[in-house]
Amino acid sequence: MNIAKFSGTTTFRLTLIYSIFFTVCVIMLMGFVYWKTAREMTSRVDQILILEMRDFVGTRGDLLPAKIAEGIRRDQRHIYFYGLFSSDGSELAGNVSGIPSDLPRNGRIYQTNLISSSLPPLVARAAVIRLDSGEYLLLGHDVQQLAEFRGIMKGAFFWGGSLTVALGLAFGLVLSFRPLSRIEQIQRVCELIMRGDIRQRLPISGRRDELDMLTAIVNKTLDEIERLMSEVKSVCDNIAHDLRTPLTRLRALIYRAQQQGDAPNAMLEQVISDMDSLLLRFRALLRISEIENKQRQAGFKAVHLSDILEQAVAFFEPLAEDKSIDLSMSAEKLAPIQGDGELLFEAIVNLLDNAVKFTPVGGKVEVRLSQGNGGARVDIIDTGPGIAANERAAVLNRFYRGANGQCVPGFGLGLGIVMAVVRLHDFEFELGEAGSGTRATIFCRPFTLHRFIEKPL
Amino acid sequence: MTRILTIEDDETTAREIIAELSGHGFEVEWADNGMTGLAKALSGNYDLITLDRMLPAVDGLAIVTAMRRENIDTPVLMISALSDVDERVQGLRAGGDDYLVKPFASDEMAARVEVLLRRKERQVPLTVLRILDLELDLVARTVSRRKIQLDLLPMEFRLLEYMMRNSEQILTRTMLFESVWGYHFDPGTNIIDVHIGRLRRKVDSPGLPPLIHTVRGSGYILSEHR
Repeated sequence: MNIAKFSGTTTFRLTLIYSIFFTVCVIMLMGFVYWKTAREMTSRVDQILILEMRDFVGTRGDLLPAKIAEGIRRDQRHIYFYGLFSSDGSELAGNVSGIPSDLPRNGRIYQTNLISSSLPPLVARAAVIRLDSGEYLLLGHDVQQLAEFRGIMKGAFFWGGSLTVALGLAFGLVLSFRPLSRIEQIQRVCELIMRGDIRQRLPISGRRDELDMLTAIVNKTLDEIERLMSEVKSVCDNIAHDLRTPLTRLRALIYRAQQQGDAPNAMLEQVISDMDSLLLRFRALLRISEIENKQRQAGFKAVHLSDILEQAVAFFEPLAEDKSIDLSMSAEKLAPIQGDGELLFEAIVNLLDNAVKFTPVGGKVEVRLSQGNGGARVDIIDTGPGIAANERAAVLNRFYRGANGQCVPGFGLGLGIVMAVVRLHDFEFELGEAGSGTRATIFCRPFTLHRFIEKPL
Repeated sequence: MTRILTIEDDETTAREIIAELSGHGFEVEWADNGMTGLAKALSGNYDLITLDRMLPAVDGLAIVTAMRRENIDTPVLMISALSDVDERVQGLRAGGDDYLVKPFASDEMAARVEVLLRRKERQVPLTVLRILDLELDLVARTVSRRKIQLDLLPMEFRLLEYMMRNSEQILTRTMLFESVWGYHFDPGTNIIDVHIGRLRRKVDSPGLPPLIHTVRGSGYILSEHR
């Protein structure tokens, strides 16, 4: 396991930043407490010293040594300093060995180090007063406690701070372990996917955290990629299968023409017409990608579905009549929808084409426009052989032709075009059954919204 | 002699266009880049121009725009690898007269060229179209053959009108679908044939000399000479 890997995680960094921030706050708090305490202690000591000074200054000069000795004797805790020095600095009485050189002799209180005869040098508050006789009187009070208190504080700063930071580090590492192990899981799955197992999906912990949201997004993307990949694959397979037969036939024709030397015109015409039908398939394929690449819904206008349906029905009427198929239409009066009229016409034409193609002579094809749940719906119902329920999804793939449709000319690309148009409009397409025949339905409701509300991430 | 200018940077395509159009008895001149093409087009000495939409440097749209700005109304057939509807609209809006998507069948291209040339010839607006004994009255919207009124559906009327306006010319199924129905996709099946068949049954009753003929592999022609 690599520490550098852990230290990069968001959790780790957040924990570390938090613990440093916390330490700084604690140090500031302790500093404040120390500052307040020190000020209080110093001012109390100074009060005592001022009282003492008044007492000593009021005492007669010849009584001072005795008063000093008395003070020292009374001071059981050894916290007071007394010293009487001659004008040249030599010690006359007291427990201080000399006036520190940094202590001004002006009667004010300063902090200094005092050296006593019995004790090691100590931090003290002290003042030196020049007496009328020319001698110097030093009065001091030990504040060693304060220095010790400061030491404790410093220690607390150092140890507390480093302990908090260290704990933060450790805690951050521990906290990062969970997301990191999930990342590793995701990595393993991704490696599988990269090796070609596109059906794998990233694990979702169910905690609905950021990682779960991200995973859900990636999984959705994978769904779409899988759909596209299978589409591409089936298109490739189908192109190969579907084109081999006409190409072989073409080759046979051309070969025969070559053998005969001077090919009869009818044979060449056959070649051209076979070629044309091949080209038609490619054009339909290209058409599908063209529709799919179209600027999404940029050219949408308000269109009347009933007009489009009427036009399409009129377009197919002669063909239906030729096959003695009863082609009828019924339309409710509906508000116009937003869409691309030309593409919708193309989709309807393809659906009608299939319906008329697969309906046997004497059958019926019915076009129905009605108000469905949440939007208009267009039904195209025929009395053909129908599509088995388990075949319906496959039928929607490009190039697929149902088992019942093998003998009918047509390239199965029509529904691919329909699907592309429907997807562009965000409509929904459904194949169902109606009696023995097929019901093809386009639900013209703006579907994006529904999808978004029903399946939030 | 009818002179045609072909502006096309791809040599193979250009050779194909030249061969096909020469075969139809036109004199074809080739410009292999936009600059020469534009200069020649602006000279105005041509009856028709086939124009590649995508050319290096000066592209097709710029050429047709420049021509129309100079009031040169030579018909232009735009040829493009871009089949998007928006591209087509753009090309036609810039002043192109027709739009053909690459790769194309040479006979389709030739048929479109003929229709464009014919459209240019016809200056006077007609009220009655007449081929042999077939009469189509554009004002009264009636059709008669040998003075006997024919009962046509609106779509059949428009189909016949288009065919009569372009009589003696091969019209492909795509051209018919584009011009009569106004859509630009492939209707796929033989549905155009069925529409023509129905029209033919009404126009060419048994016993009358047939006017609507099938051109195998290409399309249809309305002609009194075949």
